[in-house]
Amino acid sequence: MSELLNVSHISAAYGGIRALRDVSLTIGEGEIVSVLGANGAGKSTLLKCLSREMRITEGEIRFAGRPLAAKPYAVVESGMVIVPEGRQIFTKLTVRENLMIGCCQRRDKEGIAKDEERVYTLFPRLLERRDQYGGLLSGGEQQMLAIARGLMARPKLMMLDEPSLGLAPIIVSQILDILKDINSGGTTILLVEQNARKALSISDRVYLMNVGSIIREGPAEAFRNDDSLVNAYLGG
Amino acid sequence: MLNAFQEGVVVVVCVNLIAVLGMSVLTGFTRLFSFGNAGFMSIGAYTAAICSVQLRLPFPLAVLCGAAMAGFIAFLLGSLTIRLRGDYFLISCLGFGECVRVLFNYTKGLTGGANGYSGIPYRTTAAVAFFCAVLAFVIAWNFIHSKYGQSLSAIRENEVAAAANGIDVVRCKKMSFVFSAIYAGWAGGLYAHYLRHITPALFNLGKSSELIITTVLGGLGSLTGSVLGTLVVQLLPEFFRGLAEYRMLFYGIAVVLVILVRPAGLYGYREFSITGAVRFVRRLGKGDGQDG
Repeated sequence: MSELLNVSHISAAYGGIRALRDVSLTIGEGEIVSVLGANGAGKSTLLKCLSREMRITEGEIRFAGRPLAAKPYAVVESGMVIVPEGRQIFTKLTVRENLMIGCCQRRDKEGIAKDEERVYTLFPRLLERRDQYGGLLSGGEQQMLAIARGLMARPKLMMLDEPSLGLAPIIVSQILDILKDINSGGTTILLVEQNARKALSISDRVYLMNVGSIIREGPAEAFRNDDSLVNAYLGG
Repeated sequence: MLNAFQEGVVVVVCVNLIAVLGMSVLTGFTRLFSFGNAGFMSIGAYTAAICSVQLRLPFPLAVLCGAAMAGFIAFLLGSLTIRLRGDYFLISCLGFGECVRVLFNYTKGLTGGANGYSGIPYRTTAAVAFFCAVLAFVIAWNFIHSKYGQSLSAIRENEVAAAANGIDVVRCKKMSFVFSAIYAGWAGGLYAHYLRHITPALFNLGKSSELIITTVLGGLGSLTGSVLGTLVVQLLPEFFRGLAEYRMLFYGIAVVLVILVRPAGLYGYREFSITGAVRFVRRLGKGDGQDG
């Protein structure tokens, strides 16, 4: 398995407050990797650094064997897309227009049409609601739309920031199942979650964060069987 | 065909429409407010006038130079200010517009200072103005419905998500700013060749606010709304000439009313469509039949 993302010793800060300290992680091609941790552990900050929304003060990020591009749009161009926290769909654009924004950098019309079809197969609800405004969708549907929009960029690596936020457990399970499908289609996934048990159930490997640092890493089974760990750090 | 008065009305409406369409792209579709577009009109007007009088360029080329110059200045200004957020960007534009006015007041040798610049040939007939307005509308419509236009709407709706989906937010905003400046410069160039005598005071803060007010009245995010807004703002004063002094007062009242009654503007996010209008009329017809 070749290495897709390599984060080595990065730090980041909000003003004077250090939010990430010396964080290193790697993601292999085709994996599902979860970053778990309680509120304020630095998970979202990590994703912001990876999508270049936030500057890192130290360290290096390499993606697909090269240093990661410096601007958010260039990161997307290089094949790394983020599905942001809280969905962030375009409420006054239709579902289809939302999807088209997702592939705004692509020029291959046939490929786009194919991916649109694929997205509708994964999320049939979006096909039903194709011409409705994004703001009219339910929370779960909005999350599906956010994921679908990310897929339209045809990313090598998709990063999701708390896709379970504010959703009913049954919808969360549905969405995680679909993430597995997406993964088996060849997209590597980095999942950031507070909902530890659900995330563990689909992950290959896990990093555990606490106050800005990675405190443990390992295969997901090790975490699944270690209740004391889950209870201590994740409360899930 | 038209008498001088009617011709004047057509020219003024069309010229303002071009400037408002630029504003509509900037404010309505990208949600950037600029109180400095009269400054770009001014740059366009003076550049076109000087090209036409001093350099003896043909009229279309002179107007083109005016629009290009406005766009170029907007590009430079935008490189400095486009990263500013919300009100700060607005204030920087306001300052720019006033600077342009004052600058043209001082450069007596080139622009004639406060007395104005005269001797511009009369070229902007009603036909020319109308043709330009239609062309401007078609270009703006295609721009808005292109991939770039969609990116602008995405930025308007949610900047964070737009960036996350691979839109180069700064570049798109700058493009929208330059687009609106080119339109303002285009309008200014035409206006100069209609008035034949221009002064810096024509393009003051009042003019900038008029452009914004028209755009807001018509509806942010609707090009056809901008057309309607322009017609309302430009034509109503013609019918109430005696009340011309109170023009700004009425603008104020109109804006407050729109904000209270129709926050999205006369047209909101929708575009006027002929099929929609036909359906509406049919429904009216049916309603009458049932009542009668």
